[in-house]
Amino acid sequence: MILKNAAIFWALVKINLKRLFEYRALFFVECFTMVLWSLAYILLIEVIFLNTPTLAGWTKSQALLILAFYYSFMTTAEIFFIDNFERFALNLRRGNLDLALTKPVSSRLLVFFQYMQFQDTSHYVMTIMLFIYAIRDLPQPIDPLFFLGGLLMVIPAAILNFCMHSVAATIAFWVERSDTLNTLMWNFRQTAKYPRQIYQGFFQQLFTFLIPFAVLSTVPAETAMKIPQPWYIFLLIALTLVFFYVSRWFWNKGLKKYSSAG
Amino acid sequence: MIGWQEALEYRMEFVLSLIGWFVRLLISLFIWNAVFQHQQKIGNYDLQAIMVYFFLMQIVIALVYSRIGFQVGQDIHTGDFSQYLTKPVSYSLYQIMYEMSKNLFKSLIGALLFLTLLAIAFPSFITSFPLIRLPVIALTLLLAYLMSAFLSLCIGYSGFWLTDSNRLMYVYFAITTAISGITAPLDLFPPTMAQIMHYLPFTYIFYYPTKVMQGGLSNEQVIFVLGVQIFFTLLLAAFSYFLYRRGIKKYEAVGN
Repeated sequence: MILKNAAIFWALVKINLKRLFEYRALFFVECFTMVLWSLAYILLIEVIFLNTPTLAGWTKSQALLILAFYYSFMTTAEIFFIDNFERFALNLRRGNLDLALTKPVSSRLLVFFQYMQFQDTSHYVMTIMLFIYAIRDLPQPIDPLFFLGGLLMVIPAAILNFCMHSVAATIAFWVERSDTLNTLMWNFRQTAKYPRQIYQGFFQQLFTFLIPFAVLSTVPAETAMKIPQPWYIFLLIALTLVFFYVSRWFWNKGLKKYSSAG
Repeated sequence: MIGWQEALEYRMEFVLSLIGWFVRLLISLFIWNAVFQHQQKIGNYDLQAIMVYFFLMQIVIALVYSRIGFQVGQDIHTGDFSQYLTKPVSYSLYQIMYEMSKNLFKSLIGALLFLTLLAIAFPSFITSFPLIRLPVIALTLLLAYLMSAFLSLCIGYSGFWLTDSNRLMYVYFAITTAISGITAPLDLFPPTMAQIMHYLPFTYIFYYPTKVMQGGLSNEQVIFVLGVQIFFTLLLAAFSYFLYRRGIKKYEAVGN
């Protein structure tokens, strides 16, 4: 089953890569947009640290490292699935799901990975530059092994991000006009750009356990900087597993509700 | 009326956007709360002033952030634009009025909710609020919306020449996020940068209307802000009209 899904995924990658070569200019437009967005948030961090030495215990370069990890998992998301989630509610209303459902493969794979945005690979360039910018000023030199560990933590972060979006998109089976959910998810994602320690009280629990965007980039950054938080590494992996199964179960429930458009 | 009816029809969509605004507000509040852990005052702001600023900024964003560029770009791209060419209405005016009516409903409800939260969190701001300032606030918000709408229209009309003008809308969003005062008040930016931002239209859409609402400007400054807003509104309106006139000469639609 896994091999079959991997083969389908690879086929989708090849189709989408061909599309990129058709529209090469998009690559540069995306690159420019990404630079602007990154600069917007780098500027905010600069302004914050112009007025304070630390933010919830994080220095400026450490906060920038969190931002770099944010862009690591988000770029992956933007390439492979975010666009499909944004189209999903509309596709559902138009009954475009029929084709995916009649195929003998995972419908979730086909629906959420159908259109890939390989022009967004340009975002990795900016992400690497951000990593370099952040690392050069860290209070302690980075250990390459732990940095690799941090990069590996991006994998569960990316999967957890996918699963949360899958749960949100599946709501469209019950709610007719759920396009605003995309904007809402965009807003929730913003919580991942800053140290998880800034959130207090109820919202700290909410953004850590229930809508756990706050751990997606802080935990990889903590791992990379050798900040001892083994419980949070375990938490990120556990949340990824829980959300994976919940999102799959929820998707299957949603499919039973689907009645096409015709 | 159409905008109001649509806003009422899709209530769930409206509730979700309210939650979205609230999450954005929460993030700003948590960031600046963490910043104020080390000091009592930053620039001209204490913790209460900065919190009030972000509450008011959310109201301004809800009311003035225009997205009509997406609709205009789409109409041109799909050819739906053709139907407006044969109607005795101004396309630009129709789009602005439609969005305005939709935003006004959402914003009034949103503003009421945020003001209630603000009254609970910082009652002194509400009780000391001079009602005499209301007409000026309404005027600055109207002008801010018109600036935002005409800018958005200009981007949408670029669809006459570009295959995908939506990308430019995202560029516009990135610029406004960076240098309009949405993420941090202008007076907390490095002085040279704040000076540059002062000459750009974006701060007159978000930062200055928020400051007018907060009462952080003198009467002379308010008059200056209104003057600059009128100037930019006229400039952007003229530019959008120019793009529209040039664009329709280039526009072709097949089978519409």
